[in-house]
Amino acid sequence: MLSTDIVQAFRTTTEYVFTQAVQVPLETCPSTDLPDNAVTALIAVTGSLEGLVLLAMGRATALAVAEAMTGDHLSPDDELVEGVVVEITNMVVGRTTGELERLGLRCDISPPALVSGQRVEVAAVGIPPVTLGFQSRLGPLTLRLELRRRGAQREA
Amino acid sequence: MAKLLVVDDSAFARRRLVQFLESQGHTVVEAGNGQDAVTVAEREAPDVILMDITMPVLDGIQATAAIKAKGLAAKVIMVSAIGQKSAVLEAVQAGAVDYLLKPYEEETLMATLRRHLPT
Repeated sequence: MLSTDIVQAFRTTTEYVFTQAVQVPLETCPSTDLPDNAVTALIAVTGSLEGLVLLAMGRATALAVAEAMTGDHLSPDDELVEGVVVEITNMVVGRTTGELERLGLRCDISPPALVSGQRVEVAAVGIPPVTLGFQSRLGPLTLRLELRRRGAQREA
Repeated sequence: MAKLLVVDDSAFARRRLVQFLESQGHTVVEAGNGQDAVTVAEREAPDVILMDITMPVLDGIQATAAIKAKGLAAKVIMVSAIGQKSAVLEAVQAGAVDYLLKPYEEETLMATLRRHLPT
């Protein structure tokens, strides 16, 4: 089970990064399951923590976020719609590694990967997920942490 | 105005940064990974390189070291979301002259760039 300070590091960093990058406030809310047609980005973490971090938002939310950040009107199929989810995920996890370092945890991260398609399920085997929900006026987003301390026992 | 090279595997991040820098009157070229960054830097001889860290093929730290090893004059500014002090230290040891943490404000980007552009 992830400690509260690790979860809090991810939570506060997500709020900060989104608010700064998109210039739209983001707040914590009760978490929900990932939407069926979510745009999801995934980053692998190694080091003191190991596993996956996923960030997902519905396509309509991703479109609104991409338009807010570019100032352009975009089509829902524009590659920037998926690109913005990838970039925000990269910033959230990257920035959080700095917070984790202050907690004495040294982590490395992979380049982000995009997961697309309907009803796709991605999970780190044997690591119980911690799901965090967020809400902005552009729509909700979900951060899922599938992380464990290095050397922790795999859960059945 | 200067010639700049923007290196980031995120097409989204590159587009935003390139658009902004071109709006400021700079000439901008791009690369999507560290390996291409080295090739483009040799070919285009930019004044400053804005380099992401976490990229496939060759990461930004390795690309910076390779560019410096070739004796290229370009100054490298790391532009990354990685917030670890150890990453900053690695970047400096590889030859970077500055480090900009994403997400950044445009004023901070311009102030950082002004410190390293040729006068």
